[in-house]
Amino acid sequence: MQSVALQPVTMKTNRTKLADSHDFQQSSVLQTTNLSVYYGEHRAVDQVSLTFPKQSVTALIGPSGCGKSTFLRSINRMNDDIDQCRTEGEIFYEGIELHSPRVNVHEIRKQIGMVFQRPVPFAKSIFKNVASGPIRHGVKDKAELQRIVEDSLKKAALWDEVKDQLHTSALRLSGGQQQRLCIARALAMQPSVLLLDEPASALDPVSTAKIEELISQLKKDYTIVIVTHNMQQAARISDEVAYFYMGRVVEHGATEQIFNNPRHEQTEHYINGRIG
Amino acid sequence: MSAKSTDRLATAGLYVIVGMIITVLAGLLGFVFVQGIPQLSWQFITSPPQVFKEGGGVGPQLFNSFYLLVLTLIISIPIAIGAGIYLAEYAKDNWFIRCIRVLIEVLSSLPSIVVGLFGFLFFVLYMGWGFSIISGAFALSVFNLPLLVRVVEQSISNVPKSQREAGWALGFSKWETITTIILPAALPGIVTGVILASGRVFGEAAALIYTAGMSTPIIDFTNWNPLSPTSPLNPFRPAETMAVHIWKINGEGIMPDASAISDGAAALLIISILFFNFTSRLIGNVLFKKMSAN
Amino acid sequence: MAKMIKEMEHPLYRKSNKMRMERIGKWMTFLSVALTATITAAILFLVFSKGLSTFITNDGSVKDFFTGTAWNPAEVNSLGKPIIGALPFLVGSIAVTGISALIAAPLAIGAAIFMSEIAPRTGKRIMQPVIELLVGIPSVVYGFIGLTVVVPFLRNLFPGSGFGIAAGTIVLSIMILPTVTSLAFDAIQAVPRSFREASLALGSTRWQMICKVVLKTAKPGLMMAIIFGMARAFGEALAVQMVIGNAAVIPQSLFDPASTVTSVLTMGMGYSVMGQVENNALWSLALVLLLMSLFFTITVRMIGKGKSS
Repeated sequence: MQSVALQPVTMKTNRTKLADSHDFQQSSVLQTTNLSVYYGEHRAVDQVSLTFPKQSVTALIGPSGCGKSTFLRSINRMNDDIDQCRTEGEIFYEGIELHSPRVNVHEIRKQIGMVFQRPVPFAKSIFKNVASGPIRHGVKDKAELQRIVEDSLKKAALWDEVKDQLHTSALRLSGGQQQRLCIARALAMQPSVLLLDEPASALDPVSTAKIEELISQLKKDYTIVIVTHNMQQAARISDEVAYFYMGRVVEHGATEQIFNNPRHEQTEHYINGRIG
Repeated sequence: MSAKSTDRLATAGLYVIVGMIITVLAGLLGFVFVQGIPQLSWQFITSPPQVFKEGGGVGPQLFNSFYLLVLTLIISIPIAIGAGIYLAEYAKDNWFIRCIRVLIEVLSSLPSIVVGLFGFLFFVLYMGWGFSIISGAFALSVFNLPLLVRVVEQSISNVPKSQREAGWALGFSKWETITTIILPAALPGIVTGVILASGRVFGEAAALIYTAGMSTPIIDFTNWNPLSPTSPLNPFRPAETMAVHIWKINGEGIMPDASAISDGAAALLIISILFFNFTSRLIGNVLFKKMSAN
Repeated sequence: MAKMIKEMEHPLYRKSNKMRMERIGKWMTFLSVALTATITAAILFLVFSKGLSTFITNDGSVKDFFTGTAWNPAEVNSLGKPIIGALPFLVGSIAVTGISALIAAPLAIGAAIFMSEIAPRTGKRIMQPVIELLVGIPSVVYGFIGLTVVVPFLRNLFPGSGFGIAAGTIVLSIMILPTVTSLAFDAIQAVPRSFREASLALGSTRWQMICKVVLKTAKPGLMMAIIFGMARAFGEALAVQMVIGNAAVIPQSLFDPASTVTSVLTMGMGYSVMGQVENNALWSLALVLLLMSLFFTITVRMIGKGKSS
């Protein structure tokens, strides 16, 4: 027993072994099984089973109110804090069921970062916006913080624009910059999954293009799930697409297949703009 | 009479009303300043009062007012911030919380003399603190609390929900989100409210006459040992404030220049209130700018 | 067994002290709320128990208290009951509160209409901050001005000393004017712009629009403003005590010295000993004050509820 504990087990091997124990696909880091979310009596998400392959972008599309945002928010258990909201089914992250009582919900959110529709910078300096997460989770060393902030801002393609004004208020940045700052803030937690809830819908076309480019870059290191209303965006940046309708996944597959050759008539209608 | 001329007449009437109000209120302020400002001098605001002769000042009273204010804020701010946080962030909408909200509202509408009498009964007599600064500070805290709680709760509620979600999404607990994100964002509102409330505390007299008392012993401004009975800092000595002083010398003052002293003290009191008002606007603006722009 | 240990090593199972901090924080803030509520409850309890002891311990008559005109709690009357006729004070309090509300309300509402409808720019930029500033002027300053300006003025114009209901009323109406104006202004501002535009589009004059639309819609808010003002006037102690004359009789005219509940409390509490009848009788007056304050609060709440539903 002791020998096992002392063995330097790397995360990678650990993950694969765990994955095996849950009949888990090796290439995926995140998977839901029959996930349903209820607001009171209303079933907003209906038995959704999806697998998100590692280091890929999965786009969730569908008309407003189809449950895709609710689904996204239930992955890192953000719906916990909403009264009357109830979740059924399972979410596996690296083989661990996230509703298990032994799982620390704050750790989930460290591993699974989230970026919202509108940029929500804190009323603090740019540096503190990015550093506040690591500080809260116990990073004290100044040099280490500096490194994390620089790294995260670089990854979010914001470093060159803000490196000379790290200690000015984040509220002074433009909307697009603020959104990339929020992405940097999420990256500073060193997550492995990023949940993006329509991250570009409040931005102008230039900023949107930058965010899209950024997502394509981030894909190399992160598993990304993005909710979007923009079909062109989904086509441009995603590897897989899941089409939601009335809380259910109607169709899930490779982006190319969904856009060129959808199996369901309804998916085709939506993609071609016939369902709003 | 046609609708048009009624309209004109009514508008004229409103101008008259507003003119009257402005005249009265401007006259009131003008009166206090014209009568009072000539009385103000360094000697007046630093020297102790005289009982029988002219030439007394309000030095100890001015000090007492500020000292009481500081103690009151030290007592009431932490409680108000705690209560404001709970009501804004944790409280559910059930009968128990509704009861508590009603109680706090009742407290905020109690006449200050009733709060003073409660202070007299509880702090002065029951706790055995006598007429003292500490009794006065606690009574003023009771008087100040409901207003501050409301200020804190509102400032916190004004911070958008999205800021909370952003905090939770970083793996912050609710408490961490409140203390590191929400409270700093609510700070401008809280500071403005606290300073405005300070003005109210500074001018309050009815809650003090039976708690901090109506007299000031001879105090020695060179003795800063809080335990010494002649020290200005000693919290267990009685302390008459500026507002109480004005009231008292107008009722039973026997010094020949009582009215001149009241004039000066009233002007000083209003100037202090103006000062609180402007600082609150200024600091509120500065903090707001600092957080939103630079 | 080995697998279990490995599972527990995953970062998701990491224990943090967040939950403990969360509980501590929640409890501490709850205690602050509970403390504030407890203080209120303590005040209510103390004032009730002290105030009722006049009638329970000292065998005072409730009827005497509300209808008697003689106040001398140290003595007993022919029935062996303490002489606690508080009617003069009640009349005094109600008179100054009622009359000052009658004076202040129209002026305040007029000013609020002016600030909101006639000169909205000056209203918002200059008058509103000034009014809010005037709300903060300490009541002793109002009392002092009453004493040095209003009382001599009345003395010269009318028979008597100048002290009395009239002086108290003038001081109180000036004192509550900023409060009522400020609240009335908020109420009028809360009427949606579209209501006004609809009325003007139908061809009403501005005054018709103000009467039929603005004032009608803002009515509950205006009522609340006036009641707030009355509550402040009823509970005001020092400013009134300085100018009312402090005579424990029912005044025959507005210019005779009189007393209010608060003025008697202010004057008397220092000269009586805890636990004696004189003292208990004063606490009964404090109870009256408290009940009136509760009454005002409840009325405001009811109007507020009616408004929102």
